[in-house]
Amino acid sequence: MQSEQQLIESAKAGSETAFEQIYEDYFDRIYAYIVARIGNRFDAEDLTEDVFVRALQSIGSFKWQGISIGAWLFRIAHNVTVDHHRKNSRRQSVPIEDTLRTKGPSPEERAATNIAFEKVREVFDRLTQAQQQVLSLRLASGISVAETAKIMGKSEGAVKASQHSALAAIRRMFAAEYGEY
Amino acid sequence: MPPNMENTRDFESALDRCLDALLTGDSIDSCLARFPEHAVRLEPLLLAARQIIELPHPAPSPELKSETLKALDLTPLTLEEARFHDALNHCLDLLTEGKSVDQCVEHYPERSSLLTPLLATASTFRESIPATPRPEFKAEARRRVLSHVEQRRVIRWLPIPSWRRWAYRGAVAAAAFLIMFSAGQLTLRASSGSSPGDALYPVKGFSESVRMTLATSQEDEARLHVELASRRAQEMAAAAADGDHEMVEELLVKLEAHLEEAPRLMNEKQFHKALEMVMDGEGKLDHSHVRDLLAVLNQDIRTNEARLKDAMYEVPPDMLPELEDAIARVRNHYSVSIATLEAKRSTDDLDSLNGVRLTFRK
Repeated sequence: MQSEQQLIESAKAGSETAFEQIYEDYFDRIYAYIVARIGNRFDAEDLTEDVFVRALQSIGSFKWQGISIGAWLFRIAHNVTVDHHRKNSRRQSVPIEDTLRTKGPSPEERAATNIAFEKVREVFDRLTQAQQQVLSLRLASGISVAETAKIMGKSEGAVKASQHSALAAIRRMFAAEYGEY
Repeated sequence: MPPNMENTRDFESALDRCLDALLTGDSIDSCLARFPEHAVRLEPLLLAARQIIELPHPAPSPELKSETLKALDLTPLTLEEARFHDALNHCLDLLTEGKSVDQCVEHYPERSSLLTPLLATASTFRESIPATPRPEFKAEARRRVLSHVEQRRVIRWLPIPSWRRWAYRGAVAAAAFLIMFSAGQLTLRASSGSSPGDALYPVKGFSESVRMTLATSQEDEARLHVELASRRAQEMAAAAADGDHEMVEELLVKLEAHLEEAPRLMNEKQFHKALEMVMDGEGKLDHSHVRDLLAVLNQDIRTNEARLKDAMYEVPPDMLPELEDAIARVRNHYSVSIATLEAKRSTDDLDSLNGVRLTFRK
């Protein structure tokens, strides 16, 4: 099995197999990050593809300086979601219930769960960009604190503080909006 | 010191003092009275400064300040805070590994009352995310993404010194020339009428990339973006007739990107031209390129709307709502593109430019 550095060099040299390996390793996590950030699975799919096209177009300029290919891809994903928010700030979004995973054994429970999801989602959208980024990386993509810190250019301590303040802010805003949690 | 430089320094000093005075509540008139020799130049600047000063400046809440300082690592955490962050972090790791909230807090019984609500929030957030992409989409996206590897490999073989833009263009031009005037010519021609999904469509994409690379000015690039937007509209009509929902959306996004890029490039070019004129102190800003592009856009908005409306007679019934929405979005994007160019042209008109030039001359 190739090391990550070898993989990148092969991808830079135009190896389809190497890039496919990168695609397989990161596609799901990049998708999870984007869908958490924008809350719409259809747009998230398009944007995830866009991340890999952009990565492919600029992999020639990727320099191996200790930063992983994953951190680099997540930075591209962050830029893509920021662009998306800017372009779509005036555009009507797909109703949230269409985009959520439906779970729960009964329709009533499923409906109740969806309402809870929707409310959490609404509050999440009001967090700062950095708070949204840290929760999406940590909770949706399952990225470690160390890697999240590299992606965001922060210290691990700052990431831990940020995830705490983000979760606390969701609870606070939720309570202010809906009276209970 | 030359007299004009001395005069400039006097003016800058007067401006500084007037700005300080404005910030402490002094009036513009009293500033102008103190520096009558600079009054004509000072007045518009001070009026602008006063408008800026009078803008509302909301103060950040103490809570936000405190959180920001912590996030920047500027405020040392107490030992208790640091331990709590570590515990929360460990629990979040466990949650992402599939453990329940209760299983997480078992590790920290003394902190469970604080951890549980935060972890419940984290858990609800995680569950609200449709975290896995549709397998069919992932496979299709893989095919599309990897098709770019092949295109990239073709470009890599061209002898391109990366730091020489013109040398790069020359090399690409030579390659394009060879392709266009050799065996590839027929393929390129045939590809121009291809639609997404056709075997020759990637060739069409490649030839468009080459043309974009060969564009020698921002005006040319802007014109090409408008032309490509029109091509995407044409392809959308075909994709809609085939009932290909995904392709219609994909082409719509590309069309929108072209229509955003065209006015951006043109306005950037006009801005640079205006700046050069102001610095040179003479000349008139040439709007002919903008006018030409506006004419093309005004023509294309009608042509493409008509083309897509014609397609409504051929599309499957379930495609109709999507196509109607697409037509509205196409119309809207053309309108925005036209409005952006129009707005920029009016702000760059000669009168306002002369005003700027006068300010520089003084």
